[in-house]
Amino acid sequence: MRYAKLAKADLPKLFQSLKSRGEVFAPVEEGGKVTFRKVDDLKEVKLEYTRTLLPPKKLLLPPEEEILRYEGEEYRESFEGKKAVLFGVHHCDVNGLLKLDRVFLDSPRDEYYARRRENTLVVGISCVPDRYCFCTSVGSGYATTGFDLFLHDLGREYLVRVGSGEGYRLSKEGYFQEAGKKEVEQAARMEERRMGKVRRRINLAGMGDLIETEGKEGWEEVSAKCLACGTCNLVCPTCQCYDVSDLLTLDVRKGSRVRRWDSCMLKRHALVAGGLNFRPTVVERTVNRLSCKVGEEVRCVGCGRCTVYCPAGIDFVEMLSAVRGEAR
Amino acid sequence: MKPKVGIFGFTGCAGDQLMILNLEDELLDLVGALDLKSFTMASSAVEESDYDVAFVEGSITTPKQKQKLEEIRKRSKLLVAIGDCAAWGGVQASCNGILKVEEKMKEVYGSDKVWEIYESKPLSAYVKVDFVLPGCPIEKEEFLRAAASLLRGDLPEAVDYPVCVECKLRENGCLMLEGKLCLGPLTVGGCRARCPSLGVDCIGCRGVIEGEARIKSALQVFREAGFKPDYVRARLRMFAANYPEILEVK
Repeated sequence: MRYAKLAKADLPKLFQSLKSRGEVFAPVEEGGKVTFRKVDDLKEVKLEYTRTLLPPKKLLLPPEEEILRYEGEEYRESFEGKKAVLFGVHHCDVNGLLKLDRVFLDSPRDEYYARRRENTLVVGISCVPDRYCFCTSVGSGYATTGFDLFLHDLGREYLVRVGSGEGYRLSKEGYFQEAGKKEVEQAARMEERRMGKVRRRINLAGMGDLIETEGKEGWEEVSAKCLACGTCNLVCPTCQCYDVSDLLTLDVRKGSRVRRWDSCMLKRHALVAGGLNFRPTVVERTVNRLSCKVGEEVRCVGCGRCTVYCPAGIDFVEMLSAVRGEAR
Repeated sequence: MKPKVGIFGFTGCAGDQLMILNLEDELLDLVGALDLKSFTMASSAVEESDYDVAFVEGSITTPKQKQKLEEIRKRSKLLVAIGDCAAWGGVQASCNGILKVEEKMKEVYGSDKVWEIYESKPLSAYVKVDFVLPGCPIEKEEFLRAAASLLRGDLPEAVDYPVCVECKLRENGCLMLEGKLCLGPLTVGGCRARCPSLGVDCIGCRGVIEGEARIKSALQVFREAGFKPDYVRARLRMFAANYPEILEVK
């Protein structure tokens, strides 16, 4: 990997250069929460933050998007190929994007996601963990790929890791300096300290099997307060499910087809033709959600969003501890 | 041939029929696509007819209304309930099971024998309802989408997810986490979380998600948040008192 150094005083130069490559989306504080939105000035950006309500996924897989328009038998897909930059993405969210890539870029390729991903530069930034973060237990505490540049705060400057060809070209711009072993070591120590601040632990050994063999009573207990509102899925950086609807106009010939993020905690996710629902209650849906996140494959990145934003106060880590039979 | 349509109203504020009339930009397309036989709120010219689709607003509160509803049902291939009164009995049902209609009549008129009236009930208490467009009032866009689906010969796609979905898609912070009694998790979405997006907790005007709403869990969460049981019950009853699980709440 190539490393470079960027004086904090030169960050505006990088920002300007990114702006010339496309619309820049970055974390901004508004109304007591931090959210990714389009920014024109670096001053708007909240460089130190814990987590955004919706993950940066929303810019590659929009919460709602038109996928095609039709008229009679004819249709045209609504692709968007705008150049964009995701600026200030945390380790966990970069890893979240990598997990989405496996779903949407591998066969079958999702053209809508793929075109956005290919046209979007990702600039990572190291984070400020809080007591809900458990990224280090699920292997997402550090991003090794999935970004173009990654900034590590060294006080007066950033150590910049370069993760792509486009990132390499950027790092060759005049305001970057060469970084040596000293800065890399300093960044590594800093990252070690940061990861040490992630105190929450989750033991995933055998978790897939424990989820499968947990009895109905146990599940009813862990999901007793669940309101089946879907929030846990909708704020998750790796939830990939969507629902598709046709919006028909009154002439019944024209319309648009839209897709919207779906949630496996909701009724229709497992509803099939004829009215059969193969996950009729919150119990089956919870089993399914947890298996999907930490079953055979670990898709959870430990960002803590599903816990922080659950209206019923259900804690993801505690739920899994209960499945393991550990005291809550 | 254009489908024959009738739009009717029973006990309610007529707000749902008004929402249809409020479709100012689309109204001409709408009436052009339909053979509108009866819509007394819009025109006194009423044609006796059978209907391909009847849209019915309001709850049933008198024997006469019950009879008229049964007649509409007989004459209609499809019957669509529009608005919360038709879907759940409306706000006028909020004391069902607590206060008898005779007691209410006596309190208001001084006698309990002024009229013969029923406890406010949804249409489905008396006839088969093929589809429900919920809300107080209904959403204009949802009505148009439903009309388009019906014109194509399909039943519309029912919203069966909670308000929280659209609230999160708009990246709103959760009002329950801010200590408000928000009925979003129990309430049918489709309003694009209009109230929570303005910081106002959901009052449940689109009715409860039938068979899905987690009433018991919500009661526990609200209790733990420190809300008084009477207040919670009154909030739950406002638009969905006839939902069996809500009717039982003490």
